[in-house]
Formats: sequence, structure tokens, C-alpha cells
Amino acid sequence: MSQTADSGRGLAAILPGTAGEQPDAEARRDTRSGALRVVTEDLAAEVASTESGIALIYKALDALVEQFGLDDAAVVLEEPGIGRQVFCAGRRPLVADDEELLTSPPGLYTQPALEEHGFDRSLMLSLCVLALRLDVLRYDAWHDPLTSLYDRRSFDRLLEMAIARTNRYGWPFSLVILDVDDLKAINDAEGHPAGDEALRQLGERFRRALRFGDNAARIGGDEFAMILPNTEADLVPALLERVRNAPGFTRDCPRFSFGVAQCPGEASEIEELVRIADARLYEDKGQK
Amino acid sequence: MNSLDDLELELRKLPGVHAAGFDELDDMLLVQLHVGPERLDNPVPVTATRIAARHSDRPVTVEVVRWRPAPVAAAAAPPVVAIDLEADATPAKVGSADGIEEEEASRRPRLLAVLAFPDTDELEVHLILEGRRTIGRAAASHGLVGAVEATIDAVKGLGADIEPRARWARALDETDDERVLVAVALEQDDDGDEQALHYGLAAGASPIDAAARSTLDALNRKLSQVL
Repeated sequence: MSQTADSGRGLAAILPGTAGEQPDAEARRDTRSGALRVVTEDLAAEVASTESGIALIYKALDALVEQFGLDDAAVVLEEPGIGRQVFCAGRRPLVADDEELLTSPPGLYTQPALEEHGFDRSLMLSLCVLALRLDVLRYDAWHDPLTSLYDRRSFDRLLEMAIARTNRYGWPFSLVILDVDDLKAINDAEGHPAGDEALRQLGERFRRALRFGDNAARIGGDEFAMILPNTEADLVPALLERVRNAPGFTRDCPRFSFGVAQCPGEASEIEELVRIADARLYEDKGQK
Repeated sequence: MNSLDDLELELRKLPGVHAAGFDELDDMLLVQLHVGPERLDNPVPVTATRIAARHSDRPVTVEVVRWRPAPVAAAAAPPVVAIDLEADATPAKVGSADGIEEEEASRRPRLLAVLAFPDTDELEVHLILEGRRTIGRAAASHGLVGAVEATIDAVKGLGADIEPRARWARALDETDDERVLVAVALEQDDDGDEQALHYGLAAGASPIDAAARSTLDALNRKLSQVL
């Protein structure tokens, strides 16, 4: 791949050191090192408190581009569990010349290259790694590892937020609680891996059937819950029928019972809402 | 985290995904993923599209760029690339039912070869039907659509009185046995002069090979009437 220092956004040419020292670099060195320190310090200050590590990585890359009038900047990270990851300033898609980035060692790449003086490249890289690692950990903390749906902790928070929105803006929603009827039978007959697979596929069925804005969570071993904004209770059976009949799965949908409670129509507090949905769930289960 | 951050993290967590880029167009979110050559249980385009749709309140287009190791002898490759020969001349239709009647199958053209001549910008598709061979040609620079056009040209060489036009052709993914999966859409004036779209889906040893097979798949029903 050719090195073209004037090729605009081409990241092929932004491997460290390829662009050479700029003619006026010496004159601007002090300013540059100061600016670089600001970028790094900002990153360090925010990494612990930010809600999004990914957003922080882009913010740091964009700051580099802006502070130094760069054509482009990218960072390559290598993280266990998520593998090699390439981030480009501006969140932009890769272009053909970026091919080298996908196989380049972890590092910070800029176009043109930044001189090393006064710039702790490794610190900035470490902070980007930390930001990404925090995001992954945060994701894992909020999601059920088997189904990748939200977990109980996320669900409690989402339900609190939904109720707060209802009380403030009057936005109604339905709470659905489901319980898989035959998980024990699947586990006993086919083994626990089969039971896990049944739950995993059920989670995927929920994801496919839900609309943007709906939320589903696994709140217990065989218990699931959904928060469905602007959905009347009488529409829920049709939604669950879509869940049961979703094509493309290797297993039949496990049988489940469910109960629905409406907010604010039936309750506006978490405990009462869950109690109503639970009671209806057991009523449904008792009829089988 | 905003929804785009959530989406990006979830996409980057997909096995094999190494880069994600976004382009917010007027009425659509374009997502570009760069994926390594690893084989995955779930097809990345399908999984990624489902994830993206779940995170966006507007239409989403997911573009998957799959990286493969460059062939060692690529620089010394001959200008003529022969893809597939009679050893595997039966169209490998994805999702087709087994047990096609032999007699019916014999009335369908079989693909013998797809040849690309980059130097002269030519692409040839060789078909055989009941012992008759025919060659269709199109511009190699047309890529997948060129393979579709050459296949149509070859089918017409067999005497089929049809005038389908290539609407689009697109490589979707690789199958488990590392064949390329390509979908095509053909436009055809059906009875009553109404335009109808015919879709074909097939796997092949290369994108243009799969495009030729997909074209035969798309024409399949029509060919049984006109040949």
C-alpha cells in the first residue's frame, strides 16, 4: 500500500512515523505537547465516570484530529473476549486504504504521524483500552450471559424508568411476566445443555418479535419479563403468538404461561404492578 | 450510553467483527462491519441486521465486509480464471428440496464453466442442455451483474425466447463449505406485459460462479416452459 501523506483520509499512510517530521514541528512542539496533555488528561479524567467508553474513544480521536489539524486518527485495540477492534475518528466506516489497520498491532495511528516528543502514546492507548474494557464489563453486568437479554438488575432499573415516565408524561405501558412451563421436563429428558439452548432460543424469539423501544429481560431461571410501551393488554397474546411461531429455530418454542399488568391503568407502582402480573401468570399456569 | 453506543458495542461483540463504522444518512443509518475470515455459527449479516434494527427507530442498512487472507500466488495469477468445471456442474441451490426428478433435471441447462478474461474485459458462461453447448458473454467489469448478463445470453443461445434483465446481484455470505452465496433479481415481462421480478439464490465456488448459478435458479420455472 502506497504512502500518501496528502491522501486525505487514507489510513494506509498513517502508521506511526510514516509521514515524517513536519517542517514547522519544532516551532509548535511546546504547543503540541501541551495540547496532547490536555487530550490525554481529559480522557483520563472522564474514563472512570463516562457512561460510554466507546463514545470516549471517539471523543479522544476527534480531539486529536481537531487539536492538531490532522486528516485522520484511528486506534487499534486488542482485548480478550472481543478481539481486535479498530476505531476511526468520526465513527466513520473504513475506506479501502484502511486495510492495513485490520492487521496492524495495537496502537494509535494518525495522519500525518504525530511526533513522539511530549506525547505519551502508550498512556492514551491504555486509557482507550480501559474505556473499551469498562464498556464490555458494563454490558456483561447488565445482560444475562445465556440469552443476552437484559438481566434482573437491568429490568428493575428499566421498570423504574418506565414507571417514572408514565407518572411524569402519562406514557402507558404493559408489563408482561412469563414463566417457561416445561423447562424442568426438557432438562430431565434432554439434559441441561438442551434446557439452556431452549432458553437461549426463547430469548432470541423475544428479540425478533419485539419492536424498537420494547424491552425484554430474563429475570430468573425460567422467568422472563417484557416492558411494552403503548401496548394494550389485549394485544399481548398476538405478540406472544408471533414469539411462538417465529421461524428459523432448531427447537420448538417451549410452552410458557404469562400475566400482563398495565401502567397506569391498573397500577403505578412497581410492587403492585408486578403483583398483578404475577397473579395473572399463576392464574394462566393454573389453567393448564 | 446512547443507542448508537449500545449498538456499536453489541455489534463489536459479535465473533469475528473487528471494526464498525456508521454513516447517518437522511432517512437511513448505514452500518459497516469489517469481519475476519473466521467461520461463525450465525451468519453475521443476519445477526447484525437484527441487532441494528432493534437499536434504531429508522431503517438500517448493514454492510458486511469480510476479509480473507490474500492468496499467496495472487500476483502470478494467469489472466484467465477458470471457475468450476463439469465435476460440479449441477447448480447448488441453497434451500432446495432434494430428489428432483432426473428427467426434469435433464431439461434444465447445466453450468459448465464461468470464465473471466480481465485483459479483454470479457466474461463467459458455458451452459449445456441435452448435449448442446452454448456460451454467453458479457463485460467482466460488470462484476456479478456481468455474470448474470452472460448467463442470460447463454440461455438465449439455447433458443429460449425470453428477455430477462439483470436488476441486481449481491454476494451475501459464505456457506459452511466456503462456497459463496449470491442472490440475484431479474426483471421479466410476464404474460400481460406486466413486469415481474424473479429471484435466485445459489452457492458457488466464486462470486461470479454463484451469480451464474443464481441466475439459472431465478430462471428455473420460466425455462421449463420455453426450452
